[in-house]
Formats: sequence, C-alpha cells, structure tokens
Amino acid sequence: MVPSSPIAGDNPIGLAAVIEGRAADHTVDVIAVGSGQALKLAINGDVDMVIVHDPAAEKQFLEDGWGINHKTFMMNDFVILGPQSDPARIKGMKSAAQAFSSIQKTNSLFISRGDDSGTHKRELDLWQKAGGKPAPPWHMEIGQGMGAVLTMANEKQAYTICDRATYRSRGGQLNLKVLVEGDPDLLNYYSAMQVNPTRFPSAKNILSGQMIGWLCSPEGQKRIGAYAVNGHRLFNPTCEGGKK
Amino acid sequence: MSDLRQAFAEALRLIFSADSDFTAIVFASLQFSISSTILAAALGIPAGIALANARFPFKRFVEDVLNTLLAVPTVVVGLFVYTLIFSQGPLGRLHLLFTPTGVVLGQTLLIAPLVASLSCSAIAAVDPVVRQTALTLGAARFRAARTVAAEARAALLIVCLTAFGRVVGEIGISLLLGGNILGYTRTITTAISLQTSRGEFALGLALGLVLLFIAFGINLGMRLLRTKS
Repeated sequence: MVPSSPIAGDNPIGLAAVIEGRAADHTVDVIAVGSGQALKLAINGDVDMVIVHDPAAEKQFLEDGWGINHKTFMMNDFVILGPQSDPARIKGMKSAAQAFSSIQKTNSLFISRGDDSGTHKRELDLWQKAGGKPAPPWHMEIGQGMGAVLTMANEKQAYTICDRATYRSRGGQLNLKVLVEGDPDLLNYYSAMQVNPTRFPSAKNILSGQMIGWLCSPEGQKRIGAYAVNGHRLFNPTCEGGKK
Repeated sequence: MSDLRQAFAEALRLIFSADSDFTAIVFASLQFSISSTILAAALGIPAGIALANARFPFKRFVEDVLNTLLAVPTVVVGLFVYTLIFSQGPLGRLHLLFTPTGVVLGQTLLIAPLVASLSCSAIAAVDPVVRQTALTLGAARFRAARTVAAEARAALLIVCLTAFGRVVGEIGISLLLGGNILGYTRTITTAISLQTSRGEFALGLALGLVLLFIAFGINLGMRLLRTKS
C-alpha cells in the first residue's frame, strides 16, 4: 500500500471519480480548492500535484521553478448566468466583455467568487476587457466556492459566471439561465502539473508523473471525454490533436 | 516562522492604517451584534421579568425550554431561519436572505432566549425584601416588579453584555444568512474563517485581535458593573 497522494485541484467534479478509477493501486486524496489556493498548497509542499485552470498563474508557477511536467489535458467553458428577466439585456450577446459592460452600466447585481480561483481570475480578466471596475454594492464578492455563488445568485436573481460543468450539475435546482456562451474568451483549459522533485524530494513524483501520463493517455482521455452527469458530458479531452 | 511574523506585522498595519476592507468588516460585525443585542434585550428582558414574577402551572417546563434554547448551536438557528426566509420559504417574498437584516433576525433569535433566561435569574436573585417593601408601601404588582427590575439594572446590563459577547463571536448564523459579502455582510468571524482558509493569515489575525479586544472590553465592563452593584 502506498500512502496517499494529495492532489489539489480546482473544480474536480468528476475528476475525482476518473482519477480513482486509475488509482486503484494507491490512495489519492483530492483536495477541492480554487486554483490560487491549489498552487499555494503546492508551493508549501502540501501536495504532490495540482490540477488547475489559471494559465497566467500556471506560467508564473513554472517560471518560479515550483512545478514541472505541465500538461493541458482537458477543457470546458464558462457561461454567464442570470435571471430570466435579464435586466441588463445580455441574452444572446456574442461577447462576454460586452455583456459584462452592460451588467455594469445597469448596475445589475453580480455575485463574484472573490477567492482567487481560476473562475475568479477569469471574471477579473473579463471586467478589465470590458473596461469596467466592478464595485459594491452591485458587485458582491463572497469569498466562497462556486456552489455558494450559484446559491446566492439564484436567491438574489443576480448574474454570475460559472463553468458549465458546475452549472449543469446544479442546473435543475436553479432558476438561472445561460445567457451568454460560446465566446472564445470563455474557454476554460485545465492543466496538471507535478511539484518540482528537486525542491520537494519527498513528493511522490514517480506516481504523480504516472498520473499525469495517464490523464493524457488515450485511456485517460477517453475516460475524461466519457464522464457525464445527468447525461451531459462535462469535459473535452485536449491531448490528441488539440493543444500540447 | 518568518511567514507568521510577516503576517503579524501586516495584521498590525491593517489595524493601525484603518484599511478600508478591515474597517468595513469590523463595522459590520459591531452593527449586527449591537442591533441584535438591543432587539433581544427588548424582547428578552420583559419576558425574563414576567417569568420571574409569574406563577403558573408549567413554569418549570417553560424554564427548561428556555435553557434548552441556550444550547442550540448557531448553525441550527441559522438553518432554521434560512428555511424561513429563503426564496421558497414562508417569508421568501421579503428577500431577507444574504442581507444584514437576515443576519440580525437570526442573531436576535439566537440570544433572545439567553437574555430571557439570564434576566429571569437576575430578577430572582434580587432580595425578596425589596419586592415586599414595595408592595407594603402600596405599589401595585406591576410597579413592584419595576422596582425590583430597577434594583437589578446592573445585573441586566451584564446580561446584555453576555448576549453581545455570544453574538459577536458566532459564525454559523453570519455565514449562512449573511453569505460573507464584502462590504455588506462580511463579519469578523466569516472573514477569519474564509480568508484564513485561503491563506490570508494577516487579515484573520488582525480581526482575531479585534475580537480579543472586544472580549476584554466586555469582561472589563462586567467587572465594573459587578463591583458597582
């Protein structure tokens, strides 16, 4: 029995199930935290590998020498959600930044993760692109996970940005509609990295390397592509014919 | 270790530079706790006085119920109020969930029984001679009860401080009903819990120091009131 390998991952819905299928011969602990914190855990030496979706932070992490073996292995996309009444009239807009700009102009309520997660970073990128400066009271930062944000957005009938996987897993209970989707700015790439073994000699780098190799293998990619909740596939594999 | 020292220095800086996020959080905490303490006092003190003066068949049972309510965890009160005020609940139309009003409502329900129970004990502890004298001097029952309450006013203030202390440090209700919204419902305890879990120790430490300072103030106030009475 090999002791557990902690993997810090942002939004590992389904991923845990996929990984556990592979990891029958040793225990994997998936710590579900936002990308920012996942990378922090890795820098503190608390985990062996990370699965994150924040390209800018990943680049910095690699450049600073904390991680190796970076592989972008799957993707999904973000959607902008809002109430049926759509006070900012963003339904069907092709540009996410334009939609954000309308939300700000109409001071419509927007619930933000406010937690340095990959989703939060993407939201901030979009505000910047929209030329806006989100501020209270209409922009509410709650410092919590996607689940709490969806609950609050639903309760307050506010706008928010969410990855499609999490939205689908909650879709039935929510009175929120997908209003904007399909903008390339909303694409969401997930990458795996293992911590740098020269910095963290105690890390189980062989196992982590095998895990990353498996995630990118035809078998791993097939499993990721087939993973579905309520009949909806949540991720697209990206290792063959796609990026990297 | 140096990380911790750095966090501590940063915490002091936050406190002394009156950082705007930091002061907003402290202000929200004080605002909610003071409001709920005042409301709970308005409900609980008269109830406690009435209970202390009344004689009825199930008095012991009522006291037992009150004492049980003292032990209910804050998250349970939070959950109960959540089911009342969320959009599908009976009070859903008022849109109180994730607002300061929602938090104050929950916190008031949390400490009103505490105030009632402790007020009842405070009144019962007043020398019976006071009441007897008032009655002999021709006071009606209501006037006599007021005289007794006036005699116990220091003890009743201590009750309010105790209730405030309980509510300012609670997190279950603030988080469930407030939602930790920055500049709106983010309180000392919700910020400590959620920011620290994201590695922001400095803010957590600064807020923790404020809570300690408040606790110290409460205890000092109680001691002064005790020596006075």
